[in-house]
Amino acid sequence: MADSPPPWRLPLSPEGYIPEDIRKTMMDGFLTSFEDFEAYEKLVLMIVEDVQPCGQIEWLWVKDVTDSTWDIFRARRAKAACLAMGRKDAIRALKKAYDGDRLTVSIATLEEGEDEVDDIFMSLEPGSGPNEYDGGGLHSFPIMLERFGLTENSLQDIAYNNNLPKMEAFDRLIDNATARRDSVLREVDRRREVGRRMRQAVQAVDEAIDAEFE
Amino acid sequence: MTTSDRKRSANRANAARSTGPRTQAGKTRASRNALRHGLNLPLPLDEYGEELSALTERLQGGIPAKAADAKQAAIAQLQLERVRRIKALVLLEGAERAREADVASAAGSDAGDEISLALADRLARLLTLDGYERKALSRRKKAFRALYS
Repeated sequence: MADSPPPWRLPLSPEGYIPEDIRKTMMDGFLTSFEDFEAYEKLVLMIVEDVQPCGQIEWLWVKDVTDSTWDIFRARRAKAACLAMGRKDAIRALKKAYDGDRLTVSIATLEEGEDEVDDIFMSLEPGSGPNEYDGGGLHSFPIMLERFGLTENSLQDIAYNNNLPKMEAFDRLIDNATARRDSVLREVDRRREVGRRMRQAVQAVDEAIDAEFE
Repeated sequence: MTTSDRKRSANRANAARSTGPRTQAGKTRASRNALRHGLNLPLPLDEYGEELSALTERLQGGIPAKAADAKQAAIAQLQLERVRRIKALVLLEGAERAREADVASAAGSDAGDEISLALADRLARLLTLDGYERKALSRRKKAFRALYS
């Protein structure tokens, strides 16, 4: 079992407090103990500060918008992790095909091969320095790609293609959460100015999430 | 006698022999055969009575004429929270399984955290639960509109 969540430290609303029942609703049962409570708190604070909710219904809307945004973030992160594994699988398959092609495969080279796959994978990930991972496989990788008429971008395409049903399901999860959030925002729009502020808050969060995945 | 006639009479004979559970315990058990999570059923008021009264009171905001609408809105809100709790449980189970199996470290750091692994492993169930969440939100929207009107 993971550690229990830290005590709720947030947030002071513009009125000076979050109503106790809302505070309980915010934390009760939505987050799992594996997740980052501080990041969730931060998200709540961002939305609360912009929206300044008044009354029970507005607080429940804030909760809806926060949770849908969190759902979107969860699904996008899981999709990105799944694609990363897919890219690594593609490198592994490519290397296996290339080694088989050259008829040099042996138990020893297969064992070394996994390290090379790691090196190649890490060198291609965003933020990796060009010489950070300098295994032998790095030098032969462009030759491998060329041998099969591929480019580095092909790895992402192969990963997507090999995980198509999952990718589609992730996209549906993201679309569903976005639709839930939009539905709440439309409802808020019907009510008062809070709708405009909530949209602004959500836009700022979306831009931050987009920046993380770009 | 044609084959289909023979089949028909055999079906009738079998049906006559099979009259379902006879004991009260058996009947109760059978009544739950199709029950998986109960998310389509009305909120069990015995379980949620206290929470329901408290939330109804807050939504009513001291206006007696709004009592019925506030109760409907509170029921819808609690149903929504129930779906969200089940979703979290599905993720938690998956994440604990991933941690026990040490899948994340076996697959390398690129595999993501336990929640990402749980999510990838339980996509179909989460999509089903999304449907229930959408229905609960829609019920609550109607209730809120009535409350505001």
